[in-house]
Amino acid sequence: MIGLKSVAAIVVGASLVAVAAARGTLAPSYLAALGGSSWFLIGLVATLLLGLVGVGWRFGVRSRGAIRFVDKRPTIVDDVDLVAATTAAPRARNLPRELSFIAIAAPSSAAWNMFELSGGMQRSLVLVGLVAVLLGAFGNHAAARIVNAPDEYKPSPSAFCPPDPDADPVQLVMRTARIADRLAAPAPAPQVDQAGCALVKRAFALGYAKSLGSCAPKTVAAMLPSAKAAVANAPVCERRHRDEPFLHFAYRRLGDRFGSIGTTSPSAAIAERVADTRAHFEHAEDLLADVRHAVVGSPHASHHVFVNLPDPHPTTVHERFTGVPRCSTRFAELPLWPPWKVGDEARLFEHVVGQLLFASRFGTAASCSDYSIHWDAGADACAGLSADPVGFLKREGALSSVRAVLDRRKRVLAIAGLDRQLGRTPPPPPPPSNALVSLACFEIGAKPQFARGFTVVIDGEAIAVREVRVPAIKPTGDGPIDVYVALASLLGGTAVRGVQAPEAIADHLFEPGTLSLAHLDAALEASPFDGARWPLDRPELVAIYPFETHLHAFVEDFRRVYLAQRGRL
Amino acid sequence: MRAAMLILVLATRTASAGDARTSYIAGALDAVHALGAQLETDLYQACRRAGACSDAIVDARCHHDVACTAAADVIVTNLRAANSWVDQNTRAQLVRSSTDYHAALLVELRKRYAALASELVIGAKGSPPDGWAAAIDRLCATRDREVHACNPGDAACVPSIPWTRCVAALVWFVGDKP
Repeated sequence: MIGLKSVAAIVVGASLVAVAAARGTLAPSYLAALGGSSWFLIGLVATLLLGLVGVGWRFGVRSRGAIRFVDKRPTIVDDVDLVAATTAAPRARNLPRELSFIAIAAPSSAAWNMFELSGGMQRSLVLVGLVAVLLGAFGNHAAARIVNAPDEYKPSPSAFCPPDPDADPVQLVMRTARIADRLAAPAPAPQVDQAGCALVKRAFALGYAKSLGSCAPKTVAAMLPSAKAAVANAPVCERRHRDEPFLHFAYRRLGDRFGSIGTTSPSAAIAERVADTRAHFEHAEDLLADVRHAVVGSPHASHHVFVNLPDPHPTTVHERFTGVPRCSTRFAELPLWPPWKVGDEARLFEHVVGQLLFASRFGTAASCSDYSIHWDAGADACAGLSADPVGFLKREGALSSVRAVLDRRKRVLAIAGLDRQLGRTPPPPPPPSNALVSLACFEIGAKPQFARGFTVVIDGEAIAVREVRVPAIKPTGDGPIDVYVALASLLGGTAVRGVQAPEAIADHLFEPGTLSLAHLDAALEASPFDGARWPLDRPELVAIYPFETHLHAFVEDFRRVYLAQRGRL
Repeated sequence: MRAAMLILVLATRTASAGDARTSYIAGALDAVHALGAQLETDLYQACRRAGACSDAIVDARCHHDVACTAAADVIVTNLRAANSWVDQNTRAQLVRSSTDYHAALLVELRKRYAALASELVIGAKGSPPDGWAAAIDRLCATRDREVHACNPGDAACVPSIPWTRCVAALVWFVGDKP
């Protein structure tokens, strides 16, 4: 029989050594390459671990169980101490416990018939296993990392305030020397002959030219530091000072966070905090409303165009469930000049609105979610607006968004007032109501009338209304030009380009044998928005007409005027 | 019925205009290939002396020769368009850095024409079945419909250009090859 502790020590030691050998950490070359730090760490950790294991192992106490071979089969026997109470033969462990207490040696014989390694030998075996495992764990690289750990975890120099240059005499002397160097007269810059300037210089020397222009000698002025600006702009360092204990730094940070308790009296800090809280309570409605606007996604601006044309995209049954396409999708890729036919008036109108306001190909665009086109608004929409603005907008479904924008602006102003009250820098003031909300009527079928404007009052705010009347929309030929001009004047006022008298028609340009690129180029250079519309009535010219050039110029002009009048919250 | 007739007439007119454009481009390609750079230099000098290009200058140089007039048409169109191809800063740089402004301008223009010609070759995917004249017409008629946003001074980016200037540039670049 052999004691279970002896078996365990042998198995643990052997298995750990086998693992280490398999990993190659017992190779002589590896052992020879290990540095002193590694050996020290291995010894230290192995000794500590052995001490911990020894607490539970109890190396000096004999095993209470043993392994015995019964019929060449290993059998575990338990409770050696109870052997004295029974004389029964040893039994296998799978027998009932009360019958398995077996005699290993009679107490009366005062000798054990069980083999057991001494405590020192067991300790040595376990220690050898631990050392074998730790050989792999504490290689030279790991030992070096552990040794250098204090340096690695030291705070970064950037966590400290930089040293004061005025406090260090060496720095002070060097700084003075640098300034003296800069104040010294700079060496004259070498003159560099610029290509193509010989004639200009000669003309200047002879008095034919008043200045050298871009051929003037180029010298780089020395950049002198402005001491005043440097002192004025020197930032206050709020980081930890180099000689500052960590606890003091932590206290200082807490003081900064909770009302400067380090520099002001506690009563003043409390009074300031109370006043701050009271001001927040007084503006609680505005603060909550501001949060509500942000959460529900209130519009940032609200512009409405009322037109007496049918909706070109009536909502389908499917869309009633899935939602209508977003305007950004609808206006994402507008064709430059699609062919229209009679009956496409509403689509043409929507297309022109998209080109004027939302097409990204013409530069900075407006946000389409701020705009609504109200179809089938009636030919007297502006009359209705003038008579009862709130009622009209409510009937058209525009009142809620208009009121949301006006309320949002009011809250922004109130919160800016709170900021001023608390001594904080308020955000820039919001745009005026007129820039955030606008109403426009495009009336078709009435006597033509240039854009005119008036104001209506909604919730105490004066809102601008513009109106334009056209007799009809002609979707073919040069008809879209009229829509562009009318809508531009409606949205942007009268500051956009007007229509001039048409030029003479050049019929000969595309006759057989007379095609001339130079003549065609000159003829098509004139803008249709300036009156040169005749090519738009000729399909052979429409196919090659430079729409991009003319539309780009027109829409760019329009947006320069229009976007300056508008704003967003 | 009347509407159908109108559409038929318009379609026929458009198709015939397309054919006229293609045949014009084919003739201009041959003319530029035959007359080449000398005509360009002559016309440039004449236009420079006169202050502007005119039909009279072309007639005086070409004596109503059809091929010469076709090549001159391309050259005059390119002269008109030079300022839109090469921005003002680059032209000022050319004035200062080169002894022969015209030659330097032609080099700059050629770079930009080459960028446009690469669009033509890529779009045609090899040799176009209906000939280069039709391919040039097709590219120039449809190219302007897409957005071509270029940074100022970017010679490799060809902005939106009218059909006339696009055709003149490509005819000159393709036809002027030896």
